[in-house]
Amino acid sequence: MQMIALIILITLLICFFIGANDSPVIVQPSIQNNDKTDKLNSNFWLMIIGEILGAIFLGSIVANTIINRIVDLTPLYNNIDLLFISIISILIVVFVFLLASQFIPFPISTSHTMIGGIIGIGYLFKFKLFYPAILKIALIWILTPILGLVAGFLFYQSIKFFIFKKKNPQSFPFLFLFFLIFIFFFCLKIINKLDFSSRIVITLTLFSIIILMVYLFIKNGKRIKNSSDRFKQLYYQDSKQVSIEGIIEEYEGIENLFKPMQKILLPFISFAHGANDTGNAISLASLFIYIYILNRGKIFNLNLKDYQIQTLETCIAILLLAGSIALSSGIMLLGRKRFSKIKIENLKISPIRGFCIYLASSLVIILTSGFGYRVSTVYTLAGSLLGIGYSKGFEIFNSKLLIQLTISWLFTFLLSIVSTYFLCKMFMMLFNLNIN
Amino acid sequence: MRKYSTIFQRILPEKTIISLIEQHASYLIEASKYIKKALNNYMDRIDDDDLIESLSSIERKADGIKNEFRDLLRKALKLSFEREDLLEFIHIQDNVIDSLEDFGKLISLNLLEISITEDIKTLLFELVDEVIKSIDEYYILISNLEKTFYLSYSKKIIEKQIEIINNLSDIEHKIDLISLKLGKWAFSRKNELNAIDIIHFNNLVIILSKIPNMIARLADKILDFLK
Repeated sequence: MQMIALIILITLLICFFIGANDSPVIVQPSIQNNDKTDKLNSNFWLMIIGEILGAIFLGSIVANTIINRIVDLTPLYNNIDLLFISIISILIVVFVFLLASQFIPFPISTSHTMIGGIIGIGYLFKFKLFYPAILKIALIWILTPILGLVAGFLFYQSIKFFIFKKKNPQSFPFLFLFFLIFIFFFCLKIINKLDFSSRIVITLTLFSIIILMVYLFIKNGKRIKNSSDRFKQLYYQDSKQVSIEGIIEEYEGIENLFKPMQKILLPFISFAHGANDTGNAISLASLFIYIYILNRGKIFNLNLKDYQIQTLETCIAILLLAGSIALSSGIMLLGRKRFSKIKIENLKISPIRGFCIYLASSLVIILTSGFGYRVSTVYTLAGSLLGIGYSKGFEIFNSKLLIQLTISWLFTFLLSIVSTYFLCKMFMMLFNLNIN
Repeated sequence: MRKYSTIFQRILPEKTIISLIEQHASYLIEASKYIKKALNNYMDRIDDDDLIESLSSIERKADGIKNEFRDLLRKALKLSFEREDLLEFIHIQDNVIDSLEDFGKLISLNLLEISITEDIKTLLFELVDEVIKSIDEYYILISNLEKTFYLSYSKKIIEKQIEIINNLSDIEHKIDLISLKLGKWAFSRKNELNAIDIIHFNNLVIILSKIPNMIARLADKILDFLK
């Protein structure tokens, strides 16, 4: 019983700190210089909705990938003590890395640490490692920020072409419509892997989002047209009479039309983050509880056979819900507080740039998740931001961060393999445990 | 307490190139406010040390921004403009502030002993007004530069910026004509006036007339940035 309590506690703490660490990054592109605190709060709430829905509906795909596609852990299923030592070693390493990430100058991905930890256990017990799957995952880790960069670059270039370089910036909704169609098809691809009830819920959610987007698309399209017509009148009747400030104001009006679009994309990004990160964090705890029930039949003096908690899927589902609540608490209790320390006036992410970051990242995350790969939302967002930088969207930016990110994940990954290996070995020596 | 920063803040530095240029240009505006007073002092034969001190203080502050600007460029971050162009730009803008300070200093070196006719006085004040006007127009260009950039060089904004740049060329031409008249007047009095006074007067006119030239060069650089 203590084993389960300890594993659940560390898992929930991991979820809490993931929420605290990642939420300021995810929400940042949706906040502009002049935004008030209530807008900030509403964006955090939107994020939480996305995180919980993502964890509940898609988290199990990620959790199953972590459990089944990295290392064959089945030889440990008959030795509950050794399984506990292995899982607790991985979770401790993940948790320590997560805490350490607040004191070092580069981000640490929990999924890289978690997968590294599982590989460390695989090496220690000489288990079968699924190298092709691991290589694919590693490749996707490198590819996603790069894809984010390319998508960010292309989207920002398109926006420049469709809005800023045109005399009448009315064409942008077509670009947006194209994205909606794209997004819809990829979502359909993902939900085909789920059971019938989940498919119904997700289809209905997606349908509502798309209806909302189409509504805004039509409404904003009209506003852009009205603004553009008014502007045309002003400009062509007597251009000398129109001040530069007047023209800037008109364009800023168009920029502001992207704010509601950001609000729609924010829960969408959070949905992907919730699915990936909560699924990842709870995977090993779910596996342990499932194996524990199989071996011992009951926890907390409850005969679990009476409560239908007999399958791995049920364990995953329950922990996903608990994990998403812990992650949401991290967002609201710590993430929001951290974000308030950021000087909003120094953020140079305009609504259009924020929209492009979300648009590019959603596309990349949907694409990769659609093929069943675990991706880092934060890395993808950073890649998209750099893409906008390369598209001359920022006067000055740190282009070397992409290299730093790659080094960071490689370092985290290797260090987590070594740390888990030695931590688990130390525990085995302490508790006199042996694989045989 | 450790400063919290997200990955985005590590990508985007807090201070930007254009914001520093704008900050530096604000000292230009501040310095330009003193040149009319300096000319009045010259006409009324008043020695005003406070004015020189104020101009020197502005120049020092502007130098601080210039150094900050250079430090930012040295950090090897990716820029949307050519590094050399930016360095040249801030160098010219700083020279304009230096010229204003030099004008203030030079005017105090030699108190006026010659009698200046009313029409020449008017021309001198017109010259100063045009210099101030060119600085003001230039500041409009600079103060909208950040927004021009963040609105991705929108066609209509660039057209407006070009209008301002053309205005600056007109002012430059007007100042050239005024300074030529003033120079001719000074040298035509070579038999009546003290040679030092003539050279001093002429140097004052030259310093002022060079300012719009430098501003026109800055405007051309901005035009290159906008492309």
